[in-house]
Amino acid sequence: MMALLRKLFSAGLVLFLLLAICLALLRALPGGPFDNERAAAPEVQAALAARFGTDQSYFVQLWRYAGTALQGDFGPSFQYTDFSVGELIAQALPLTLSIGCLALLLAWGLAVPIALYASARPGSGLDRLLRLLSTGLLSTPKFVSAPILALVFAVWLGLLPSSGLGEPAWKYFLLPALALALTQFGSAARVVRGALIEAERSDALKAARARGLSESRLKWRHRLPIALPSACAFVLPSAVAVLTGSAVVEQVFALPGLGRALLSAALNRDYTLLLGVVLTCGVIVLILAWLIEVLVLWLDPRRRT
Amino acid sequence: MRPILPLLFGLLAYWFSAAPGYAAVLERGNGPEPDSLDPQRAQGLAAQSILRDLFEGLTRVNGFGEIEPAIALSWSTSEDGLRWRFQLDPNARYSDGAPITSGDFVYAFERALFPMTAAPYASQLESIVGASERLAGQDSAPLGVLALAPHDLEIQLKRPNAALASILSLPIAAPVQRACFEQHGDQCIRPNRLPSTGAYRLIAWRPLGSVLLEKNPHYAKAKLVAIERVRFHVTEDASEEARRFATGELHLTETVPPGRLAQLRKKFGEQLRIAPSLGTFFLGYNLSKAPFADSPKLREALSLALDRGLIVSIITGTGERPAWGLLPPELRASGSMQTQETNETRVKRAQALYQAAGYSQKNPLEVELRYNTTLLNRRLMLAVSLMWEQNLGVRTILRNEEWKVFVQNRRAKRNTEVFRGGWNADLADPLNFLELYASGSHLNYSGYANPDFDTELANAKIAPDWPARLASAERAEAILRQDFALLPIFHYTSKHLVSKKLRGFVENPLDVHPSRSMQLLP
Repeated sequence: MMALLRKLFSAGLVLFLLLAICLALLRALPGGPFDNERAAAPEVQAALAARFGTDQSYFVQLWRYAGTALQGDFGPSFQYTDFSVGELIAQALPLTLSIGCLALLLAWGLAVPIALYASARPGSGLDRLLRLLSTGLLSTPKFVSAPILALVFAVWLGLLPSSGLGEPAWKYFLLPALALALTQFGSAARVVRGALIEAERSDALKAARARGLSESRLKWRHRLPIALPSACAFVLPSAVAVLTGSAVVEQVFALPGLGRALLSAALNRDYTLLLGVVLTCGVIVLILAWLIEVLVLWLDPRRRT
Repeated sequence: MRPILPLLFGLLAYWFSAAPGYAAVLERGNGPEPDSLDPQRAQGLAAQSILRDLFEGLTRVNGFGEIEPAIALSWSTSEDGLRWRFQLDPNARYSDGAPITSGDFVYAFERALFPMTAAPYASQLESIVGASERLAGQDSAPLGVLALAPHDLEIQLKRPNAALASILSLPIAAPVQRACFEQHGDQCIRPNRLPSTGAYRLIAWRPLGSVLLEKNPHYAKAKLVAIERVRFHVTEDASEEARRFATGELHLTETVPPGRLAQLRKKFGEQLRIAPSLGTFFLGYNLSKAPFADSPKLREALSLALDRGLIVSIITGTGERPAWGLLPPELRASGSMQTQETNETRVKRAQALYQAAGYSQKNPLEVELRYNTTLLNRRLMLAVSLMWEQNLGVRTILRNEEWKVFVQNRRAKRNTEVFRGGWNADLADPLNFLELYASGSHLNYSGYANPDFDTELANAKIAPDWPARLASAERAEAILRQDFALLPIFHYTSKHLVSKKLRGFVENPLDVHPSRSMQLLP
């Protein structure tokens, strides 16, 4: 119980620091939320500042925002004044989670079996091809791969919609998920391959092999379980990379997700929306870290002590 | 595992949710996410396009860009031009079936002029009696918008305003239902709740995605509206928008990607529609400090040293017209301004003026040219700096800034010397442009002040009729030109990709295209 409380307290502290730093950075940025091509009249500017509390000091703003955010209210958006930040996040979050989950499934679902096969024969043609492919994919930025995917699958082949969101939704999710998955496949394949080669050298596997177990049984029942905990620890950075990478991919595919909201909030100096999205991402990362910690403990009983 | 199952099922249901099965949907690219769909609060062009489908006021803009009666069947004006009396259509209804009365207009105007509404277009209503006082926070000041009877409305002005019919077509002047705003507050602006007065009603809104409208069954001329549904897509990137048009996902785009006219024409053929629009691209000077404060000769030299013909043919290349004044030809009684002078003669004059202003090759002008980051702006500013250097020897420091930083710097007038300026008309009214240079205007980023210009502008404002307004406006613009208060470069064009399936799209200078005046072939 105490451990849980300690975890919750440290999570709260992390989120508060995140909030305080983001607000300070936002206020330090040149250009205000109500600076537009057509400057509003001074009386309108004053009314807007009073309505959104931007005329308050940093500490008053931080205190007020932290207080309302604690109750789950992120306030109204500065830029999209018809919506509260909570409503905007509620609409954007399922989409980002859907694409992110799909991307992780694609990346890891393909990386594990391919790495398993290649690592069994280190230095073979397939192994070298996998290493080359993963390096290539890792070094290709999403703003390059995403438009190429759209060009090939939407414009040339006409198989999938080029961008936007319509029905059925899955058609619109495939290309963005693929764009996110490509980079993650590269890094996941390298990590899983490394962990499997490491497992091959472990005493446990040597002992199992000495007992005369078949290669197939060794692969699935021994090598993989030994490699999985260390590979799983990499799922967190992979998920975080997917979450942050969604800003680029959602922009290229014009998807109304959390990443696009974040980019729009930063460009428009929409303080409340930006803080809301950052806090949401912070909570997601903390939950993921906790889930992966539990998963690794479940996979590797030795770490429970 | 158990708690994850409902989540997985939820995501699967979300992914595989089926189309609702409507065929006749006009898919429109609409630029950035609309800032608001509240007619009194909205500012951006993206919001105005949607609001013109959702809301109509006393007047409206038709598919040709002309002003015509909407909820007002007719109106009469007093001899002194200070009282406008409107007879409202007794059959006019909101999208929820409630009648539209003159009281709704009174509420809308009061709301627009209430300071906490922070209505960006409120200054357009400034000629109405009591409007300035209300905006200044005097809530009890009598407002010159009176409901004489349920379908009889009077607007009292403190000075004649020949542009009033145009101003009343703006979304800010559209009626809104008091009951909805009093019951739901800002939450009134929600799909299937917002009572609209135009040809369409709001049925879905996915922020940063799309806005879906459906034909308003209570619209007085609903039978004449051919398109059942309209979806406005957020299209922030012109290349992405063109890609969606090429794959048939969009019928109408908001703009086209930058490129040469011949290349675009080759790619899109007759679907590319380009027309002159009411907008001017110019460079502004900071006239509140050296080197431009008291040096009209230097300003004239810089203006003459630019080859506008070359800029519109090589840099912009999509039908833009060289500009010699702030007003587009469509808003000038005497039409287009042509110069007979060749570029060579202009450059020679520029060099003489440059020297007369105290500069030379040995003592060159060093100037900062500030602009916001876009591909076109980068090309344009590079061309301008090269022409200045080649023709005069000016050393230009290009300051490329992020949008909000640029806007703040320009407004502050502290470290800006020359800046990127531009204006697209809200109304087909020359004063909409000229007020940018009125002394004390919050939009006067140059700090220009000339009492003669202000007097002529004031004359234009109180002109009893449209020809008199245009004549005064032209005189005011001539003063701006004599002072070389700005450096006009070109007049904008509107650029759209229009599907062959879409009929009724008509190019017009205001670049307004109501969905109600279009038809979509299967």
